[in-house]
Amino acid sequence: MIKTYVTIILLLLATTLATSVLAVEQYLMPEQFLAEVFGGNTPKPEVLWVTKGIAKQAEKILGHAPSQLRQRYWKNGGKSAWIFDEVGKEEPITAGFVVSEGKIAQVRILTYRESRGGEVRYPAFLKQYQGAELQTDYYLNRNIDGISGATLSVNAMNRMARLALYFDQMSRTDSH
Amino acid sequence: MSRRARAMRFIRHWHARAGVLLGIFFLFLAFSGLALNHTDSLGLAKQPINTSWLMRWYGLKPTVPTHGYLFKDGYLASAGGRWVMDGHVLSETNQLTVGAITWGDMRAIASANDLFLYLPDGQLVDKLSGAALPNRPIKRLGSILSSVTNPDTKPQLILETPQGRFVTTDGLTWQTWATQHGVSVQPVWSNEQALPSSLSTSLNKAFGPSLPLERVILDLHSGRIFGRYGPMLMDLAALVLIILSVSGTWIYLRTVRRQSRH
Repeated sequence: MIKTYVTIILLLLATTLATSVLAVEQYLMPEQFLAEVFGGNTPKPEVLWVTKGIAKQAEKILGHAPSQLRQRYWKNGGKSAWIFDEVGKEEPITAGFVVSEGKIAQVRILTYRESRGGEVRYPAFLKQYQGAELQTDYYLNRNIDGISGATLSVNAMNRMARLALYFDQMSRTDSH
Repeated sequence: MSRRARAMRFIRHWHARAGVLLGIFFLFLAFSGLALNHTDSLGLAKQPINTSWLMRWYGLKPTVPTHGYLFKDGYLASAGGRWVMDGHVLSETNQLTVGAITWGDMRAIASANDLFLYLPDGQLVDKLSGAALPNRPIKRLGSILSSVTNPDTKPQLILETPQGRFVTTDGLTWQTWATQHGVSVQPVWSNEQALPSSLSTSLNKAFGPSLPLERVILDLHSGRIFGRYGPMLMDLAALVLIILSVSGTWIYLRTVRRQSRH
């Protein structure tokens, strides 16, 4: 009888712990993402200063002011890598974007913190961004199919993808 | 007058009066319910309310810190998960500070796992965490004065971690301090100090209690704001609303039946 009670209590504890662990899921550390992008030879970070003009356009893309004035990014061999945090519903999603020749080359979810909508991490969803470009109205030149129950996470991903393309444009303007 | 007619008159009489008397109450319940239904789109959870009488009603008192970090022309104080710099509530909170220091035209604030760079007006310049830091946890934060290193260069920021001390000039690349400078140059470490009494007005204002508007509307809607009997009052209102619905339906049916007879 006591054994049964102990088993039930342990099972309940395990379930509680599993639930709390699942709340934040880190799929990839930023340094792992960068190592993957640059073949283990991660360049030194560069900086894009979010000046007033850039911040104004970034605010239009994000729907809110950018959180910081200095955006770090990594650039080598014609491609740049960007890591952003953007709130889906309540918690920020950390995602990495690789831009090459003004097009999105790769997208990865690094950390997902929302309780629902984690399907955005699946390659089947993320590959839709490959080759996407920024139009003159600062929207993507293609439609990204949504996921039922993950609309806000998909919207956050779209905003970050647009921001990565915009910041990439600005970083190239900045350096020339 | 028949018994049924008297009952009808009684119900009409009290149905109308109860409706008028409690109309405002019902409207309030309906509007607060609507607001709570759209709490995300209205951003109710993000709108703080700090009206002093309301905070007193809730029994909330300010938690004003007595110690903090002093800059040449400002301060950083933290309490109750809130960081306040020169009266500005900073966006990044909920972490304990381990140091804060002026670094060039910015202010560097460190928690055990993150390093924040702010402008004096409270704008976040950068947040360094994970691989952007040379090591963690940060135990101390300091700077190496430019007059000691090179008067023309920006002072270096130094972090002390269990794995050693690391310096940076740009917050992007870090070097081990000991190998670069030897032991003769000593950094200036930031230390918590007693905050002067001249800051009390600013601190009282910044650390005053607040509640999200959503909480206040929720408590009004449920009646909890009126104490232990508040929910009972709301239950009573709900009962009256049920009775009014029944009496209203009854009055309607009686009227329709009477009209069809004529």
